[in-house]
Amino acid sequence: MTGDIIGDYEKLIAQKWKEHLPLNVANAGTKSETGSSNISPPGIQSGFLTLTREVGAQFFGGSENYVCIITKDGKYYAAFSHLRKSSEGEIHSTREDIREFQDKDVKVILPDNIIVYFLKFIEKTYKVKPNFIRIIDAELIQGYVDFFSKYAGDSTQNVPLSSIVELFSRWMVAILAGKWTQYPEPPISIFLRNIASKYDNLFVKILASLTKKKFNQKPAAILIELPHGIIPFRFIPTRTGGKITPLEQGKARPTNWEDLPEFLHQERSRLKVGRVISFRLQDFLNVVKEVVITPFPITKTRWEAIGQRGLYLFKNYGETWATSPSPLAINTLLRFLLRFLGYNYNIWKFSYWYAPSAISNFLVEATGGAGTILCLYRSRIKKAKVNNVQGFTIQIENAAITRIEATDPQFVTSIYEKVKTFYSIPWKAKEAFYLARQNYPNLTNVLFLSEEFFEQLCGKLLGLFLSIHPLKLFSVSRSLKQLKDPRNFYMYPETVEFQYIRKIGGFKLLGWISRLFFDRHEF
Amino acid sequence: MANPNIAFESGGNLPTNFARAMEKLGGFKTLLKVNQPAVVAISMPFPEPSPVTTSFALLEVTLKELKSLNLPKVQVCAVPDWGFEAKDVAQVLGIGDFVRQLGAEFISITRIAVSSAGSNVKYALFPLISNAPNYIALPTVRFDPFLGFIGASGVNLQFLRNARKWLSGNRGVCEKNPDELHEKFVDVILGSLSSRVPDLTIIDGSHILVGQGPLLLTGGQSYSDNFLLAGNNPLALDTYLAEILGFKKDATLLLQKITHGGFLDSEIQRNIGKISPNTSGISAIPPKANSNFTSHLPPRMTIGLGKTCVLCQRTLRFLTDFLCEIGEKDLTYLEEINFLAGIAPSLPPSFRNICLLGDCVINSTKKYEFHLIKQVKVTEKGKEKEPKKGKEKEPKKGKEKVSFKRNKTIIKIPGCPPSPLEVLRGLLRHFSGKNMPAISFWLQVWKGLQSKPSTALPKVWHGDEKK
Repeated sequence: MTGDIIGDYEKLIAQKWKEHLPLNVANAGTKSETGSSNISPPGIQSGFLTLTREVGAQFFGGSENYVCIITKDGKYYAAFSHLRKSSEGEIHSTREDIREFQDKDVKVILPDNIIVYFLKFIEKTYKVKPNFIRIIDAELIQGYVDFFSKYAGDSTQNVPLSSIVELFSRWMVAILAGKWTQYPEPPISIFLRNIASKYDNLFVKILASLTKKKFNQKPAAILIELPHGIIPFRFIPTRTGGKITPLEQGKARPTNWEDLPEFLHQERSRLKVGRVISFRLQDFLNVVKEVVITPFPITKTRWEAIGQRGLYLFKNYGETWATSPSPLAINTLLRFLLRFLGYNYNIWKFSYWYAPSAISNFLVEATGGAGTILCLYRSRIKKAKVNNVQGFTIQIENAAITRIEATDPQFVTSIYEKVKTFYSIPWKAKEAFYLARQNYPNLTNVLFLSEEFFEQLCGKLLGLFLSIHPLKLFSVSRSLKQLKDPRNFYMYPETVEFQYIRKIGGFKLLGWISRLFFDRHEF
Repeated sequence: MANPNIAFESGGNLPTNFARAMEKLGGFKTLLKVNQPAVVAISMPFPEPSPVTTSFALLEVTLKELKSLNLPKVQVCAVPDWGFEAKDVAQVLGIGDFVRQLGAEFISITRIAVSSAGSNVKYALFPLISNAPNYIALPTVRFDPFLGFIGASGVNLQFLRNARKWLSGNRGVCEKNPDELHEKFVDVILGSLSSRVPDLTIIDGSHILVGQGPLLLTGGQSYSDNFLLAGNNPLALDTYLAEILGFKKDATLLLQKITHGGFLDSEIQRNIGKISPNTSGISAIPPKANSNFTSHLPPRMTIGLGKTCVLCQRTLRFLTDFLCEIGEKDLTYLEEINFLAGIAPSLPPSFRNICLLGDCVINSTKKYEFHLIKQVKVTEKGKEKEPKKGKEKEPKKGKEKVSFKRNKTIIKIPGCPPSPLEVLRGLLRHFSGKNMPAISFWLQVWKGLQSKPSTALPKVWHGDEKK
């Protein structure tokens, strides 16, 4: 029965992964058997699995002592318990009888009933209290099985970034549609549901945009540091995102941070890549954990706290993350020369504690801390087609972004048809604002953004800041000038800081960034 | 039954509440003189941008209603705070365009100035409003930790009287009884209502600023509630608003005066009782500001207060809040600051970086010892002879020379009281932009909007015409 196999999907995936065999749900077996699934396959294929387990343990309550209930076509189908019965750490997966719930409609029987039933049943039968109960739709499991089947057999097969995003998107959709539920509900699923409903599925959209992004053409190695070792991956940039391959683990990370650059250099030679990026997974997961417990609506203070935690990771170069070759911005001589010219750029002195509140002050000053901003995002101009423009609204309350919503494409089209062009934005922005205000009475600003702006400012500029040196100042200054071009970035009504930024030159803006976002003292 | 003087509506959206409130007041038509021009006075505080302080939605509804009456002329006028250039502020907020879009004329004052001698006109909008057959006020409601709360009455004063009367203090009064100035201030508010009361005052409950800090940028919080309050008596509106927002009747001096001074007649009182709000529709009472200046300051920043008037306290409150919220980074660079304000304050714990805020403290601390730094120099006297054996003499001490040097770390900010911008500029001059990056940035940003002092008569600006 397919359902049996699906129910034991984790075990099957792990086994096939170990055996380097392709997994096919249709012929993998006919009956689920009780057995051990405590598999920790060594070798290069274990990279994804170890990573999945590590993340799963942090966010979903681990992989032991739980019951997995499978639903298929909206009906209860099967249930599997994954229990640790001995002190040796073996986890026994057993197919359980779901009795009166078999083939019953999920909508008719409340999940509470089946959960209470299994809680009592497991405790009574195995003398173990399950940590959680998960209800998954068979379709979602099939997606996971397909993914692992595709990439498990061939160790050299690269996993495209888009496939990982697709897998994540499926899971997000399943959460929203109620096809993946867990009791007690983990904070991450509550958070993602809220993000999806209140922030227009922001995570998936950002990830999806990464899959389309053209990265630097040189392959890079990503070393993910775990408490018990390093999981290396090779990232091969392609024209449509990139591909990720698990690699064989090399030496252990040196305990002394001073030896880290040498270690990364050796890994770079060993793995034959242009760049090595190493980061400590636990630090990132700690920030994510902090983020997922955020209550909604997110307040200004919370936004700032999240920002501080996130930026602290960036600031903590050498401990939380490191690269080889190291960014030019940390070179002492270049930093001295930059400082001599009046620009103080030092990653270690990044004002992570102040930057979020500075940005929130900008937001307050621009919008008044309440209201709605209509963002009109234009992708690269190709014959000035209207379908190049997307609209979304950002709702702000008490100086915090409380909601992001995609606007109706027809509404954007209707604005475009009346405004006619987005080339002469300063003259047409007013018209667009008053047209949009008919639909959004609380509208405070209209913001025009372009793909070029994001590319220059968010993508290129971050790289430039990391590799900044005196001669590159011109290049950075030129990138900052994108802010001045109304076709790339324009706001109506023109707020006072926006007017000022447009007025000053790129070098002066660089000076302000250096003074506001980097601490002065080398203490 | 007579129509009530004020109307309170909650629950619906703004246009619905507006329509209901006007219906209660007897209809928009009956409140105004038909076929006569109308002036709408709206608050335009800056650097608090819209919509926290200026209800564009309410302005829109009001102007649409006025348009439906086919009045010959509808003018909207606005005055900015802090002495910013009204024309630029209006452009930044987009208020001029907004008003013209709705078919009205926008007027703002370019400069706040005193008129030439012999003229009774002290404020350019005064004749405009006092002679207007129809005068509608759309006030901004803000809570001020010292002046109480600024609502319908305060905004009326802003439009009718010379702002100097409001903003300047008096050393003589401060020396005797600083609280008297507060009373004087409240009297000015109440007095302004005797010259011209708006025919209709409308307050949008979704645009109220509460909490710590006089500005949103300095720790204030916008309090949104879905209610609308309208009426023809600003005092009654303020009293009622205070009641809705959880103030006691004697919580502020203005409220005390209104309650106990007999400013409200019994008829209005009765009507207030009649239309008591449905409290279930109002969310929790908003937080109020406290008067503790040093609550958010690091311990190395001290504040010494002498006899301080309410206006100086207000500036000090702004300053400390601004430093805590905007100048958070700047505070880490500053070694210490000792702020002194009022008449005869106590000596600061340290004589370095003393900031004297206002004329009162500058004049009253002229003889304070911190103005001079005592320097003691010991002059050496020739080479000491070697002591003879058996006779151990103590080495001769050199002569002590005492000199006094002017303390260059004193920052004097004149004004009675000094304007918030002046205080920030003074601090920046002393500590330099490198030590105060955030404050210097915001002052640079606002530089383009600051008006230059002028003694000429203020010009009336008729919107930002298309260039």
